[in-house]
Amino acid sequence: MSGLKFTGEDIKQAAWDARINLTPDEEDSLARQIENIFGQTGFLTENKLANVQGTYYSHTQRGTLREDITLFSLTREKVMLNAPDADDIFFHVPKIVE
Amino acid sequence: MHINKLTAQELAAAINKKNISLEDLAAAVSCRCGAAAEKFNAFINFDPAIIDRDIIRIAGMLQNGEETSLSGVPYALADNVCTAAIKTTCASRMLASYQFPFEATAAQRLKENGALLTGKTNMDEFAMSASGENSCFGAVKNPWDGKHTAGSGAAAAVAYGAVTFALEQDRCGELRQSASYCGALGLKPTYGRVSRSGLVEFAPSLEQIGIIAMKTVDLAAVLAIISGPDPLDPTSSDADVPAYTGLLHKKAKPIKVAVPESWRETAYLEEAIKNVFITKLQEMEEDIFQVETISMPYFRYAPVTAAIISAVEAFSSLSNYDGVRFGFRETGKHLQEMYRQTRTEGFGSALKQFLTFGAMISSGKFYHDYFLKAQKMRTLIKQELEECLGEYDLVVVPTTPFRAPTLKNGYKECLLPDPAASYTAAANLAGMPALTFPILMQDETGGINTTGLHFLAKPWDEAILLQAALSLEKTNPVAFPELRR
Repeated sequence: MSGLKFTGEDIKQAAWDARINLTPDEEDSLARQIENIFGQTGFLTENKLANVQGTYYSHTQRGTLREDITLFSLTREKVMLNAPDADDIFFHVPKIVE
Repeated sequence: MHINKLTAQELAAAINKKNISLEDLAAAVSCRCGAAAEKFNAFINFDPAIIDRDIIRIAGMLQNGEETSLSGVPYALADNVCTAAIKTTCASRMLASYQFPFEATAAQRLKENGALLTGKTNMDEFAMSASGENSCFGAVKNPWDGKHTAGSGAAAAVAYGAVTFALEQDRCGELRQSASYCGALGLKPTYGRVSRSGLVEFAPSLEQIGIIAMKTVDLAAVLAIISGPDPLDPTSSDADVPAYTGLLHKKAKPIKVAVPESWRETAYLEEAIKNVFITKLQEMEEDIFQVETISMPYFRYAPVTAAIISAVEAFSSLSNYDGVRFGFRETGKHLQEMYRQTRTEGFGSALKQFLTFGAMISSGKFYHDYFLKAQKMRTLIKQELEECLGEYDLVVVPTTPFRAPTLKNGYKECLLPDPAASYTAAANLAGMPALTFPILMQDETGGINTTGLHFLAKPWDEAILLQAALSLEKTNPVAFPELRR
């Protein structure tokens, strides 16, 4: 194990950050799962990791920049098609302040 | 008409030469896909009208003299590969009525080559795992035994012979696990080989679109078509795309295969899987394979490493599902409450827990000790595989530590880490191509189960995976569940 402990408050804060409400049963289930995975992370404390660079993408891409020319983009009508609540121009949302 | 007895190439030739009429094809495919939908819940969106519409399009192509390599070959797409004419739900309430505005590049390339789209297949919500149970449209049953999971509808549809092939996402091995549960071949190409444009993102540094089929030649034919650079996906590669079908028939040399000695140490490894794997290794040595066991100390850390990385990436990728611009919306007194209610009601329980874990690991308290270190471990896993594949042609392990779990099985209560990804996650971390080859086995009661041999190859060398699979096909012929019964 990496040594860091987690608490029920960590789970509640994380759910808040993820903008999700968990039920007490879901919090318990998640706590068991985190206990399980943290119990298998002893290898993350290995000294060999100290001078290793992380891999964020498996292959280094070359030439990912393209020519600066206009390509197709979605029309406003198509973008608005899936909106739960919108008019021709704007998405509608509830007021920001209660 | 037993279209599942024909390869994609044979079926396309028969359609092009009008030896099989498009009407007969439509009737046979509709009947078979309808049965797969009804018996196994393999499809989220299946409607004979989808097939009829595509048949009209293909008839138009043929009338214009376009005799393409996949003319009329039936296929299915997992429901997170976007289509312009059919809804893309990701098996989630969040996107239950979502209509993507354009076609995924891979789907577009199949369309241009005359393939026949049958529908969108069931899967775990946002393809977060291959339990076959975390879909808001219900569980997917295994065509070999309905009490067991199929992993995904794509694998069930292919194994049942409803379609010749299917495309599906593979993040930590979900495609290969499902194929193995259903007795099908599954190929995850090298990262960047196939465009991800139009694949709904979950963990973008790990996932690829892959192929499920029953015959190696069909994997080769489809891979040749969907591969190649795409301006809509900057992570797609401009590496040469070999003529895979032609390479299959090159004389195979002895293939050097490494077995990581830690393969037996995996949690949940069933005795039956262990025995079958050992037997198959012995059979392989009598074939064109030279098998050696070697030390690969980091390989077994892959599932935990991948779970941490993918949870963080998923937390980020799915943060835009907030009910504002698209998808499901739940009402709230104010904007924050609307976001929270939308995500709480729109996502399923397992996904909510996974995203919460991702949020926790992204926080200052855990980020350095878990996420950054997992990325460093990813480097070591990748280096280890590169060194091994400098000396050997392939690495082989079982595909999963167990056979297809029974529905409501205890393994799947814990997805952190997912035990099914024990052998498959390393290929995603390293961006390497991997293939599962189906093996039939008898259980204690005489029933047929399936498992898989799982091969990894060096980046861009899908050809050797296909050559190995073709060689194994000679001694392990294709079997469809219904045809055996």
